[in-house]
Amino acid sequence: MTTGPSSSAVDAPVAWSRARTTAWGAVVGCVLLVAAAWTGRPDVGAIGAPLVVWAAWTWARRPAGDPAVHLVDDDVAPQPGQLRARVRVEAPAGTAAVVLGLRRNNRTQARALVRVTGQVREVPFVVHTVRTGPQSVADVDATALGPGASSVSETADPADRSALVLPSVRPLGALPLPARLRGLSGGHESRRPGEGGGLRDVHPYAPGDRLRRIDWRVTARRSPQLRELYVRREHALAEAVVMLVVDSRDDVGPDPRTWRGLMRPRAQDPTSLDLARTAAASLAQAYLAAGDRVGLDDLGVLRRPLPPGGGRRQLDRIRNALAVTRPEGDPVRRTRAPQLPSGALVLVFSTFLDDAAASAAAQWRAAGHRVVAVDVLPTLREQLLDDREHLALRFVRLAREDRLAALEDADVELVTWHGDPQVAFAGLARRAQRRAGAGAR
Amino acid sequence: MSLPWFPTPPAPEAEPVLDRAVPGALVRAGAAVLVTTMLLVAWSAAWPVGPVTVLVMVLAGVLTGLLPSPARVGVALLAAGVLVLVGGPASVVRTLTLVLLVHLVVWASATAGRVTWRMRVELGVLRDGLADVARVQVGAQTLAVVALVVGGRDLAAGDVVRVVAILAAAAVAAVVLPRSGD
Repeated sequence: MTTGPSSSAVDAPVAWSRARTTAWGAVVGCVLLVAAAWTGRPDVGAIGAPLVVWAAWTWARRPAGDPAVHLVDDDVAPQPGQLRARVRVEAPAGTAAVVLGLRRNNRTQARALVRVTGQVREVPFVVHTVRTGPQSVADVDATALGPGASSVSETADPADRSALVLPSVRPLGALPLPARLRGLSGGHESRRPGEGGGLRDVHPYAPGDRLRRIDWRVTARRSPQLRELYVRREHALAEAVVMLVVDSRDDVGPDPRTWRGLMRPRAQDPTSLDLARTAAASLAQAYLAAGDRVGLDDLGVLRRPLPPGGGRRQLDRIRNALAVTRPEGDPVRRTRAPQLPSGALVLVFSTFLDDAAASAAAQWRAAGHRVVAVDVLPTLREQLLDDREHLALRFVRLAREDRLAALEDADVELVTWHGDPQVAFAGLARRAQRRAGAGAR
Repeated sequence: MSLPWFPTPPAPEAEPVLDRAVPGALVRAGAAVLVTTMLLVAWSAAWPVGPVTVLVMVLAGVLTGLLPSPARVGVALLAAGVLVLVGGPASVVRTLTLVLLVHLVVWASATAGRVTWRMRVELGVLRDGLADVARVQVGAQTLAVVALVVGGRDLAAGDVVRVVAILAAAAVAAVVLPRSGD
């Protein structure tokens, strides 16, 4: 998690007002005192007197000053699914308690009445969210209470803090490879002769072959007179180039009622973009760990893609780029798919709710790339939909299924990022390992 | 299991980590109990307490404590005072108990008025408030005893013991419970 600047602080003086309950008590106390004096009943006066004394005593001890609230980072490292921060409340001397309100996504999430000692109190809090990317940690407001809750300040200006939550990664097994591998180093066997891979063939010695490659047993069997020497040749190692293409134009949750934008998806529900970020980060880590080169492009914006690269720092770059990826303004209408490195394996992460991502995937496949479409539409929750919404969703589903079927007809492989996607990826990887050195189909 | 027509409210996304907190509902329930007790003690000063009386007082206490409103609290306090006024001179112990109860009702209702059902309230806040109440009660109970004696009320031996006990309890609470700001 990385954090942004905080806003807070109170500049103008805040007035303290009487609590009406205590004021009503004082009025009733005065009435009882008058009645006691009128009727000569000391017991009634004794009952009314503390109400008046209490109101006067607490009002005289009311604090003078402004409460302020700040949000500060917590020292504890953020765990997956949890953001941690602290509310720092600065209250004037004499403040007995502070009412804290934590808001998130325009909804009050929690309220607490906390004790303030020494004019400063820090209250840690935890935000449970599976969301990734840029987000507000919380909006916090504070109202201070005087002694006996008999006086109350105005609500201090709320403080907020933004955070950038990097996508988490999940382990993956075998992964598909592109049709062509590159270079003479890496983690995969290529078709070309070289060093580092498995046995390719046995070949008569030729100028350029190293002496340590001579296979004396084969030579003794095939040429007992040593008229010819035989060497063992190996496959060369190579690396794959993988391009992750994220469709950031959609960010939809599992509840279709939130797709209009009037309601926000719940923090416990990952949206399609959260799934896309997690999927892309997981695949990037797996490919980079295998020594491949991974790049990143975004279908939703016209921006220079992150070129393929390798190593740990490339994974950090990809995770940061994924974290800041989000729907920006009107969707970009592309006339043709972005150009990608030749021979690269293309992984497209999209909900495929419209034709743009599917069309781009089909174009890349037609250009010779191996293309895997990763469906990141969350499992939909339909229980609360009415009949019209059910009908609308049915139309959307029909169009989407047709689109995905057309993709498969165009020889684009399809993986759904639900449940155990590593099984589906392993299946794609096995399909491509029919012969050594093929790299792919 | 959640029913489709009664969707369960979503779990809060943000939770503060508090130091020994109780639910706000408990604070409101405590205020309701105090209001009920105050009205019952005031009623018992003059009339016997029957089941109907208890039911009515409980309803009044629930209405005032669980749904705190300054006007309702004021009416409850006034009702307690009027019951004592109409019912004739109350005993010393009952008077001192009412002195304590009306004070607690004002403090508890003021606190409950700032508390929502789902709010969490730190016990330290309640402890500080009780300490303030105890500090004022030391003087209030003493003045009440003096006022009753000056008014011609006789203190029986049992009453003296009870008065001393109430004063001692208030004094101990005022000393032992921490001051706000400590």
